[in-house]
Amino acid sequence: MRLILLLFMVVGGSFLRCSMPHHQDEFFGDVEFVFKGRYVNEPLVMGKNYSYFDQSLINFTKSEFFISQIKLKSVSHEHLLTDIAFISLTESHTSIELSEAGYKLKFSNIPVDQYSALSFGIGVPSNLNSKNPSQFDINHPLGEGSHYWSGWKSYIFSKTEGVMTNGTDATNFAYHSGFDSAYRSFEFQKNITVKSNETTQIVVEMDHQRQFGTSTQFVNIAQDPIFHDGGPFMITFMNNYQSSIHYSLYVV
Amino acid sequence: MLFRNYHLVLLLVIGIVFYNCHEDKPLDHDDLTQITYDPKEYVVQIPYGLQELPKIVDNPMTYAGVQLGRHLFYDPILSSDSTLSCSSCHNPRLAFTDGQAFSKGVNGQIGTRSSMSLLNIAYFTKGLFWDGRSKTLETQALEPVKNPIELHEEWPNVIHKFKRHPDYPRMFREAFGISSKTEITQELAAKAIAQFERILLTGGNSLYAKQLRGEIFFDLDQQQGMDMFFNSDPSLPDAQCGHCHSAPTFSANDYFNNGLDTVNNLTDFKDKGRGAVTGILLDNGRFKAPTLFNIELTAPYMHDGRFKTLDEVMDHYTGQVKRVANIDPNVANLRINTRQRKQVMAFIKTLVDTTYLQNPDVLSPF
Repeated sequence: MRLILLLFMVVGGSFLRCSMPHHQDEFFGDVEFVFKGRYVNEPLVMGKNYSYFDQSLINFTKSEFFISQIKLKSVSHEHLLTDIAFISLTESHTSIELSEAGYKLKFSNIPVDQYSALSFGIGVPSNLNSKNPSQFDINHPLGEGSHYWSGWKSYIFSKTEGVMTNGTDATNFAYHSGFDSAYRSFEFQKNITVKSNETTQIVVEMDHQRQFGTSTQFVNIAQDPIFHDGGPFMITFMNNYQSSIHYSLYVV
Repeated sequence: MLFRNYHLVLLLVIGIVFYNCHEDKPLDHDDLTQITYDPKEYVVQIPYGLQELPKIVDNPMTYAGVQLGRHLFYDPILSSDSTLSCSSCHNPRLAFTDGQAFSKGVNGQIGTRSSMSLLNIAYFTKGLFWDGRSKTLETQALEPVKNPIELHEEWPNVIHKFKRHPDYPRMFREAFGISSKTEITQELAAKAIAQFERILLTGGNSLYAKQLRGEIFFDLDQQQGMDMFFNSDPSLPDAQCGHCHSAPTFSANDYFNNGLDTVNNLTDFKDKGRGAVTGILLDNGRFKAPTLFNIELTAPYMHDGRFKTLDEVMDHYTGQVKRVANIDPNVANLRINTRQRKQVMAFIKTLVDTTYLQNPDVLSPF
């Protein structure tokens, strides 16, 4: 009798094993973020002139930012994709083709699930912003000195730089945000399905005109070409920055 | 007599046998396996306040590797006429620069750019040279040898010289475990030089670092100079230095146009700098921001050595900046008075740290 029971257990165990996925891969998929700079409806190309709200010409020479605490949330749990990453559109947006392709950030081995929300922050969360580059490896996103402003004792959360031209007057602008007050959180409620051995692509678009306001209330760049402090101008800019971001979802 | 002859014949036979054995197994002059290969990790001492450096997986630091790199760095064997070495343009006593606007190569050929300091070069992770055309120290070290206005030599010749050298085959064996002289390559030589360059670190004993550690206090000029450098005191003007010379390395590890030249069009730069590497128009006229550690020792300044003194550099940033389309927006003619200018200079001079010269692994072995 014992022998028969043992036989059943072995055979049953074998069946159970056969019914399970053969490879660990089958429990995981990939999630790829594609960051695309836009100027209203056009792809953003560094150095290309666009029409500003007041019909001046604006072009961009640098656009970069930290993204942090990227999480996928489901009913039962949340999955942290990364605590911090640095995104630079500067070198990835030098032609229309490259701009359309975007800056890619891929995460592998994400548990298969039906997620219901995506959340992330723009900037460096306070627990990391209290550190400085010497506390990281030079290859870590937070180990790069040019992303840190010693005078503030804060990381530089975002840099938007370029040139505004109005007739013969040209103004170089540099808007650098920092301090904990500049951190902006996002949560998008939408079904995001991560399937086994597939890549779910999340396209994050940033409208660079929207960073400067709206047609009724926009930044006077010639008057305020530079900020790198935590003043009200920076707070307004970061509110606009938050509004400039939206996303769409694809399965590749 | 017969007995004596018998012994003679025996000796002859033994001699022939030994001779034949020797003939059968001739000595392999390229073989290095009799030399012990026992690599020991070289632990780099990171200067206070600087970031940790990652381990290079395909070129781990060893004592033997650093020693080989040190020898190669100072040895004129790398040049075609044995007159110049890497150290000819990178003199440790000048913070690994040469004090010239344009460096001289073999046969007195004049280069097109000023020699860059190699101190803290391990932190330049976004390209080397003024224009970033080499991505790693290993690829960079290959370039000056074959450059006709630098060492003007062919790597196969250098390898040939290494193989004939009384010490280098052994040192390559000790550094990389090669079994034969035939395995000596330019890539291994470059790896050794790269290992040596990764120990050229500075900054941890500067007055700035001592002040960070609380060992000293800055005087008023140094303190206010630092506040303007980093724009950390709203009551003082922003000297804008920290954008391109960010702590802790005092280089932004990036490329900038700092308004040296006026051009009508971005294609008109005589030296396109970064743009010649990337092909991106906006990169024309952009050059790497060097570290300001030991900047007092690295005159003349800029990629073409146009400024002989730090005072001339300050003259540029306080009234001679040219506006061009891709100038860095944080570079502008500063609105600081004479006293404030001296204060910024006083702070910059706190960045001198020559204690690397006390490290025997850094200095010439010859």
